[in-house]
Amino acid sequence: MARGTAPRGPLAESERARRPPQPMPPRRGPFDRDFWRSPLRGRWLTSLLGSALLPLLVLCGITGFLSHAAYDPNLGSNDVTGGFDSGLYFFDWPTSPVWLYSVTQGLHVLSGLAAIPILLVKLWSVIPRLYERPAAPSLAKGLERLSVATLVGSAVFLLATGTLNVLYWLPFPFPFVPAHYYAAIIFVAALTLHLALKLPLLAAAFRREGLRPLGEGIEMMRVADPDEDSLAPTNPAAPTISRRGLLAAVGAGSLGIVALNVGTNLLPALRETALLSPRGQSYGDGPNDFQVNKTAAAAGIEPQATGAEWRLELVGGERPLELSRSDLLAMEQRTERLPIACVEGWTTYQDWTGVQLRELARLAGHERAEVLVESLQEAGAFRQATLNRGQVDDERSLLALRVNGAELSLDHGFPARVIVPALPGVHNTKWVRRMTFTAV
Amino acid sequence: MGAKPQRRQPRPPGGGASTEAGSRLDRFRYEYGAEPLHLLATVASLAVFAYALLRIIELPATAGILLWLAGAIVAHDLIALPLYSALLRVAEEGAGLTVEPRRRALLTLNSVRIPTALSLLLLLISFPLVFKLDARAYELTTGLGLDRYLGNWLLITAALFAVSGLIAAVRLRGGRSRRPMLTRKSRRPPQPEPSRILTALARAVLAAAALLALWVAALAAYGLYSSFPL
Repeated sequence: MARGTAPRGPLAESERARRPPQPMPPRRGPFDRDFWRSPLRGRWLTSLLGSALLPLLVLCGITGFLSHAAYDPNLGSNDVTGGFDSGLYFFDWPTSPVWLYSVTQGLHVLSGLAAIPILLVKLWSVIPRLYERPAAPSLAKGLERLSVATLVGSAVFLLATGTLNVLYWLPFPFPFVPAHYYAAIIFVAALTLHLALKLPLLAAAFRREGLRPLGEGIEMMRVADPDEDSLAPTNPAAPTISRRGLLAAVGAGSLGIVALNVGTNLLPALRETALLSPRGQSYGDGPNDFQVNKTAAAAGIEPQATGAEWRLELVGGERPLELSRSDLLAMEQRTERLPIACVEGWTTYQDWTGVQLRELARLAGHERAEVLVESLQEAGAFRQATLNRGQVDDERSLLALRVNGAELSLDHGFPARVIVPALPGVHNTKWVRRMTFTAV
Repeated sequence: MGAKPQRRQPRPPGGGASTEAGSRLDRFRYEYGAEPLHLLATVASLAVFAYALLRIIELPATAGILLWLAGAIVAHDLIALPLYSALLRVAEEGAGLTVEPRRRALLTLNSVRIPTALSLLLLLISFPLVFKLDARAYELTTGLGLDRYLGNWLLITAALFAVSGLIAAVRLRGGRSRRPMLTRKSRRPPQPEPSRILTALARAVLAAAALLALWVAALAAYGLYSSFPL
């Protein structure tokens, strides 16, 4: 019934009452479903990207929380997140196998980096959802969308801050560790709900199509039915790439990133292949030529504080002891091949020589003890670390004085540094000044 | 949880079990828009979110963290994605207009845009090194310099284009056109010509991209020169 021609007379009211509901005003731009024209979009593509992303994110999440556990947040002032949920990390971080942290943290960084291209394309595949109107047709849908916002925000935040932290460019005004940690908790909560809601859709897409769309080249590619699939285009353009072409490019990106970074951690022999990694560079081939986490200059270590007057204080016994470097060298020396494995995802194996930590504990009068190790470093969250009982007691845990048969260089912690198997790199305190043992 | 009945279309009471409890459930589905389990799961998830927010509020620089969390959505959904979509569209139209036949146009297009995308992806995960954004901090921390990264990125980019070009050359020679393109017919009448605003916008984006390319090229030249001075 055209406007302005409503019948007059007694029937008018009831006529109007029977009129069907007015259509919504036409939507424009991205709010119009016809705006989204890519013929690739649809549940199957999103499901395939999701099923590639899921294992990477699960691996990244598990290894991330393991990394938090590896810092033994229950001990001393090890916890830098300020959380009371450190009670969740009820177990002591083990010392075997020695490569444990190197592998878990290497996988954390690699899986996070490898997820980046897949996440970007997956978000592209569902972007029409952002413009669906009404935004919240029901309370259920509204809550769901709120949760999706936290999912996208935390995912991009985690990948961005993680990558920037690895790259030593910290333009953000907050401390990295607690921000990354709590964003991860937001992410886990949102991802769990997302999986509960979407896994049935993913399963349905695969039950229906299997991997058939992978067999379709650009000439034969089918477009998803927009009546059944809310991600499919209502107004598809001619394809300029096939779905398998897009997926191959994404896979190449993901694998390429792994290939260009694996040399810094899982395959240290291939370090020089890490062409775009901040830790891909070689320092040379001398005994002290290996990756420095933080130079003495950056840590503010005065060279004179490490000279002949340097003493190691052993506290926690009946009375404090002071040992000079020659006292330490006079004790039984032990050599171990152990990695420094950094939270930033790089690893370097070296031959360390020094005194066993448990010998120092015995000297202080303790058989089973934790130890707080403090550095000459004056400032910084990691100028001290508390080691658990098992780490002190492990026969391979050393207060290293020499490396690869030479004296430690100042950048590697001269006069003495801690090296403990499977311990996060930054807890292997350099320039050790004092060790405080506590019986447990 | 999978089945979510539409609001305003309550599911008819199932079978003969139109008990009072059943109708209350239907009422809930109608008002809420999904099963009760959906509400339970959503509230649980948002409660954990609220916990993390409370923890973040106790951290130093709370505002910065929240700003970055929200900024992540804006930066991706409202800036990065529209920007690269526009660039892709310009590239697609450019290739379609200038190269004949279509098969050749698509091969050309993809042999350029895929290595470009991969190169930009690598830049995304290394740009502070490549552009030496905080060289002093890096040098002080690691005791190393940042000189190699721009050259490395350019070399990898060159390799990507070389491989891509090789593949395109082989495919252009090898495959004769097999079957005609099948695309689903649009359900709407053909679209009118793009508006002048859109065309002007596309040109502006193209110009911006060209400027960006010039800037990258200048940086590349500078980086090469500082790595290998003449």
